[in-house]
Amino acid sequence: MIEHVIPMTGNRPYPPRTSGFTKTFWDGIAEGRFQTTTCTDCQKTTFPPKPICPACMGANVEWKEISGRGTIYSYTIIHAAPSIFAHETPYAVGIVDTPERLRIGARLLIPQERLQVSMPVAVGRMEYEDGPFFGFVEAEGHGTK
Amino acid sequence: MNEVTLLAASAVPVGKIQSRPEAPDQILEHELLSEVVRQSLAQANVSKTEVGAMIFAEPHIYTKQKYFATFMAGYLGMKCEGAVMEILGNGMTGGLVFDRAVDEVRLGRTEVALALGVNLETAVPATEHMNYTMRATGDVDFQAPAGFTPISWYAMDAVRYMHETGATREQISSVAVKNRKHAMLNPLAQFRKPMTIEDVLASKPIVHPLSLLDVPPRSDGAVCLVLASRRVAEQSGQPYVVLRGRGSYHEGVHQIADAPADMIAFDAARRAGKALYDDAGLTPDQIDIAEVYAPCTIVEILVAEALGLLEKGKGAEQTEAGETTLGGRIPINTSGGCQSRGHPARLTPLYNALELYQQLTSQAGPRQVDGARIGLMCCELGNYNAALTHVLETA
Repeated sequence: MIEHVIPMTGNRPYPPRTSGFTKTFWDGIAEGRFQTTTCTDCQKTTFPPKPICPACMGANVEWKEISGRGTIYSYTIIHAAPSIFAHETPYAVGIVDTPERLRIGARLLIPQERLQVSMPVAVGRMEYEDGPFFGFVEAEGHGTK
Repeated sequence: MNEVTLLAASAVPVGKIQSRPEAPDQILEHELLSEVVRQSLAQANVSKTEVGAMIFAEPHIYTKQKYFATFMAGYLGMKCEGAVMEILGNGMTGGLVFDRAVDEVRLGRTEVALALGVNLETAVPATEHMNYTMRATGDVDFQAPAGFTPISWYAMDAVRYMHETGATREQISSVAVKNRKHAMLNPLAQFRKPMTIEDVLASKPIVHPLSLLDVPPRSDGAVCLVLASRRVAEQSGQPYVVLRGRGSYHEGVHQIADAPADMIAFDAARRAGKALYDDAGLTPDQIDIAEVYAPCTIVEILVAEALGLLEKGKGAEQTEAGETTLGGRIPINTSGGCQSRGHPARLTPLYNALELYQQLTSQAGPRQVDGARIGLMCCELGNYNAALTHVLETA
């Protein structure tokens, strides 16, 4: 479940496309589900979701909701951005490893001074005016002593 | 398979060359490159009729002339039995151009092949250029919308490396200071003024923890290499180097794996390095000099570790200690590297080959590495998700 909603200003600077296949993912983000695909033949789960299994090249995949939790493998703070993102600088992006053994690249909606490798994070929905995108926030309870 | 030599290498100094759209006098891509081709053929002492293949780096989208390879065949009146074509492979573009030109000679399709190109981009602001390049270094639907930039991935390598090894920012940035020392001795280099570690640390932040002098400048360039059979090289009476081995590997990953893995091992470089050493019958300690594609300071450290030139986890420390500086144990990027020689991205591997040619034929002037006989070059794409290696040896 996506428990966190982060209000964003304006439209998505670079909105993702939606296909007949990825519609399930993007509709899920809008409705609070963080999902990807798992192969029903070899059980490999992949991210981003794919209509085929890149492990066994089978075509039998099913949508599955994932925890949306993980830890930061690495991160950076972008000060020099493409012009379409300039109004959001500085912003943090990172690589998140999840308990489902997925690795996800995403925006980190975490104050710069708190960012650290191995920090537990949880998925959140970035609420832009034209639609949603996903990012990660600091997991609740982390850092409180 | 025929033996292949690198018989000549010419280029314009790396820098800002591209005209602004409103400039009354425009720099034309074909005029710029034609002069470099002329110089390289004169240097090689071969006539244009001997050229049987021309492999070009595909120019950036900003270059007006399209179908540039075949246009140039017409402009220069080059009749070729072999391939006349353009190649695009992100940062590996120049390496693939070299590789393909080598193959034309190796396979006997011609005895002389040119590996060449122009890179013109500096009149386009970086912030605009990135709107385009960000689509080349990430999934445009699942990653680009988060705002990743091409070098943001390298920045994350740096954060992870510092976390795992305890390396300091100063140690990582010592790469830039070392490369500036080298560039000061290279007439083709873009930045040749003295620079200190304090300058690097004080430069404006770009992608944490990397700042302006850790990351590549915007650069234009034009370069032409002449690859030739051993027979042609011997007849030329000119100095040349011999291609001794090659390796390549694509790890089946675009920027990041879809499962947790050791991102900073640069496994593609490790495997392409092993393939190279096996092919050439060499070990890393036999390499005299290396020119590696490393847009950011951290990348030079990680690729040198993956190739076995520096010790794993100790590369930053060893760089700071001067092991990769001219006069050190294994000089790396004597050209000045991407930060100071400059980074005309689609040509950088060809400029790296040019540096090896000059070093291995004792034409590197004040930056000459004494007794350098075996030189390695390595280029990449993505976050070193693929790597291509070559080793050249004094004839």
